[in-house]
Amino acid sequence: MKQISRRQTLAGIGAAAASAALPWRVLAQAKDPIRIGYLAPLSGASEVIGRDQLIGAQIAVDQINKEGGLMGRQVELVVRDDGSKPDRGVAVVRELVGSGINLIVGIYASPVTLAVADTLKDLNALLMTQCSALTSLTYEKFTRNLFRPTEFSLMRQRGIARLAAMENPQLKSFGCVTTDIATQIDAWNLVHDGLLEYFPAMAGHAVDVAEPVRMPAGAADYRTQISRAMGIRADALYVGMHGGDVITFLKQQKAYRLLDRFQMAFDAGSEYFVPKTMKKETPKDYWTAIHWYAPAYAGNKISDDLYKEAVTRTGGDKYPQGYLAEAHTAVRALATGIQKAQSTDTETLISAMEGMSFETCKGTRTFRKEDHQADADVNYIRFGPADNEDGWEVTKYQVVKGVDTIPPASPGKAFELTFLAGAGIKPLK
Amino acid sequence: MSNFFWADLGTTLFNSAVLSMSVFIFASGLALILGILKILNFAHGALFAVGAYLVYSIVEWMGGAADLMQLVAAVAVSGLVLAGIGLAADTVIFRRIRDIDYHYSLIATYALLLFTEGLIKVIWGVDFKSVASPPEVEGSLIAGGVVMPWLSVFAVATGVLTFIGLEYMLNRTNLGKLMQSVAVDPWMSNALGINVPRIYTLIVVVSFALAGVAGGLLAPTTALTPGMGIGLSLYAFGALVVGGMGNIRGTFLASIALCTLDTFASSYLDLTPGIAFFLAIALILTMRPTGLTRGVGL
Repeated sequence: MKQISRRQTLAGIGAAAASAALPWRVLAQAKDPIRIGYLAPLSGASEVIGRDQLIGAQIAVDQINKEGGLMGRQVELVVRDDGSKPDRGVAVVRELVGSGINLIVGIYASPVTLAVADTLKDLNALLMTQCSALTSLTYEKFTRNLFRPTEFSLMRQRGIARLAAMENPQLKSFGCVTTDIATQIDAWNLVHDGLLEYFPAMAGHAVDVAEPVRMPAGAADYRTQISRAMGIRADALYVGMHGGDVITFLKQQKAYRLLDRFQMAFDAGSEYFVPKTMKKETPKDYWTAIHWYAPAYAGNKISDDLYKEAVTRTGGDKYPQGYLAEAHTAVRALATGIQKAQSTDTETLISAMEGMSFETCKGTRTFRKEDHQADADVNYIRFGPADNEDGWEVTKYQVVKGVDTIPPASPGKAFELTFLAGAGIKPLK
Repeated sequence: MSNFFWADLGTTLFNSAVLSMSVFIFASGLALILGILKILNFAHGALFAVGAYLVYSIVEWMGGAADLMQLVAAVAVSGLVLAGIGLAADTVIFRRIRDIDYHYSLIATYALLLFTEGLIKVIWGVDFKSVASPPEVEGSLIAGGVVMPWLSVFAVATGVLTFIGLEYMLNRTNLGKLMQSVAVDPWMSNALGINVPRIYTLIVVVSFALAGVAGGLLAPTTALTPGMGIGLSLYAFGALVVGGMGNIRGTFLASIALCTLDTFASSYLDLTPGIAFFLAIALILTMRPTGLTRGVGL
């Protein structure tokens, strides 16, 4: 019988001890949090939006972690400020990927999303956008590594044209004032195209559309353009402005009573900014788009829970901006994907999320397999001045289902304004 | 010519006057500090914003609404507060950058701009703010088809009064003559016994006060944001350069010339607003590189 030496015994004990430690190391890795990079404009002109988006994303992460996390691991948001600058967004994404993070959520400004989207394939990263509205992101600029869980400019602008036809079928003509920047010009072309589609289909008649009056973005004085707009002969007015510009415009037009000349006035989507800022000076019966109108989803548990938490975290603000909800949605969409794929690997996730349905504060949404665009509802509110503590109130709201405004997918190809083309009208440039 | 033509012309002229005086009210403080201290104060736009936010806070303290006299009082308070800030800024910053290379003074005032914008965000937050128009000036004066909002009439009147006041002070008072001599030759002025540092301090204080008053006056017509001064800053710098780099009369004339050109171009040529303004600057400077006016700094 072969004798086992003391040295061999000791070596064997040592090997056994080492092999027993190995699973613990694997278990420790398995308990590491899932790190998700989060980009938002936390400085610059869009800071007021980025601040709320971060709150929404953090609420989502806290809820997920409270529910036990993902794959038995907690989720950690690694927050970065993109300052709404494309070069900064790209640099930050590269930094995140360099530190081992392949999953990115966020970005508000479409130019930043465009710049980052170009790098995703090389970096083997996945981007779940929030509120990047540019149509081309899921059309001619489509990339597999990008998912858009929220509505975008095409749905929103066509939706408001549809809303106008539903609410006021008697309208026969439209005018427009718009800031002279690409996103607003693009938005007006989409509205115009939508007007030419929906009014004949829903109201039974075509509409005339006047030449738009262009405005400079970021100006302190719009009186010259308001004076020109006084010459618009139309039943309704589309205001292609947002943020501080639309507030300045609405304040200055008051003395001219410009909006009083129209049966319907609406803008590209200024959330609650106008009534919360202008209070009693808020224009009467003014429509706008909003990413999430909580009262429309009362009874939806995700919406109710989000609303309660949002009010708390915004210091008691009863009207949390819709941007907060879309950030929340973007994080939850990614979380649903991770749960489904049981993986954080980019390619595995992409495959798992194509065609995936996920629950949000605005109900169920589904990513289209072809272009990774979700069929989100678009919310619209009409507000006006009121004799209450806030100085304003919402007088009506409408939910336009995403499936009613989202056109067929055509990834890699530009969206064609078929109704403008059919009418022989050149899009505004 | 039809009535419509005259109404349209009248409206465009009135809008030109409104933009011109808005730009001049903003630029007057900038012109003073450039004309005498030879410092281009990049922070002027941020100080303008502080003036607007101060009026917002005062009106909120009054219950969220103010009549015309209360607004005027709020604007006056805003001017005084900015004057105090100007005194502090002179002690800490401007005194130290008077005699150094202008590159460093540009960096210093740019730093002051960033600091001031940051301070606005800390104190008032990043949400948009608005000052309600006083009820007395909510409507419009309509004459011959020309719509003239009362608030705009008030802005034009204020701009003209500001110019008259500054002109009187600079050309008809002893203090103004002292300022002019300091602007022309500070060394000789000092040798003759003029307290040049005190004049410099006074100019900074008046310049800051004017920025505060400009912000307060224009607050009811615009959304308040930390960066709200940027739009007018571009126009103001243009007026300063064309006017003769710190000359008050030149700044006044340049504001009128450039803003009138821009308004007419926007109205009748459908040019993108702003293009005509900067094209006009290029044209004028090509013909008169020193600007519209020459002579003494003010």
